[in-house]
Amino acid sequence: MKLRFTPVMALFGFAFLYGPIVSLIIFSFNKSKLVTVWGGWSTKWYAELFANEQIMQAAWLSLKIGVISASVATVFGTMMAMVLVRFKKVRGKGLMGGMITGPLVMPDVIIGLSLLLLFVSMQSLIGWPAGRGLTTILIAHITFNMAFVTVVVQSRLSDMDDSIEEAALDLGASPTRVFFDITLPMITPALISGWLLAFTLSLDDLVISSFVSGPGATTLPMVIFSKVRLGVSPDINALASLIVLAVSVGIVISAILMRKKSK
Amino acid sequence: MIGKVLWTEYFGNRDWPVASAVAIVMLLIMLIPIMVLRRAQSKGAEI
Repeated sequence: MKLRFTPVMALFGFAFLYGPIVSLIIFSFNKSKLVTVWGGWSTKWYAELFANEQIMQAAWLSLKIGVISASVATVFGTMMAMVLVRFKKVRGKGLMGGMITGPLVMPDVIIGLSLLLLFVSMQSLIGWPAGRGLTTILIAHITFNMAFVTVVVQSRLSDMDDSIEEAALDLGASPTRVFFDITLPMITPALISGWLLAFTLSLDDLVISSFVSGPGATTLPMVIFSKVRLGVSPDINALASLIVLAVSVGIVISAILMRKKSK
Repeated sequence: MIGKVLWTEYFGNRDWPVASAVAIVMLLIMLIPIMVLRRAQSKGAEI
């Protein structure tokens, strides 16, 4: 009984996780415009998707925001993690360490609303940022991505053996040289996973972007959300299938690279 | 859902002060259990 029960449960688990994605991909090839009616196979929604200027622009903007905010957040997050782990005597370190987990547990609506209020009052006080758009979305994404990167890098840094760094210092390397030659290569896996995490979070963030964006800056999740409210259209299915494809290819490539490295 | 209330208050009614008040209430709802938990943990560590 026990031997038969486990595979069935695993099947249910996989079906629960991947059933919606599979149905999404199948319905992206639907000929009919109605999502619930099957009208035969067709790839016309993919053609329509690439012809849709609004969606393509939003996708490009989202990618741009994702790459920039993940890169900046990785730099800032690494600096933050270095301070929290390596520097022993920094005033207010305990408070900082506690507060860095704030954005992780804070609901998106609160982060979005408070950033918006900050931007509005900054605009009326010092005149920057003028209006809301790409800049404000970037600042908001960097803010919450930084916290996630910090947590990832922090755990890697505190696991690391710091006697290697001390040996390099003893042999006469300057602290800067030690950081770039010893520390950075050792925390590279954490940097990559932190960057990917930040990129993913930035790409699928709807709530914070909606709060801080202005006219002319519409990210992909915002376009999808506003379209779905008017009724699900099949070109969104096509877009989502392409994203699923891109993510799967990325995962397969990283798995192959990981396997090569471990050999 | 309190988050949905905040969302409609901001995007639907354009009532920013009420939205801010809802956000503060939400923050308190979230922070108080965390602080109670932290206090309980630090008390446990002292004994």
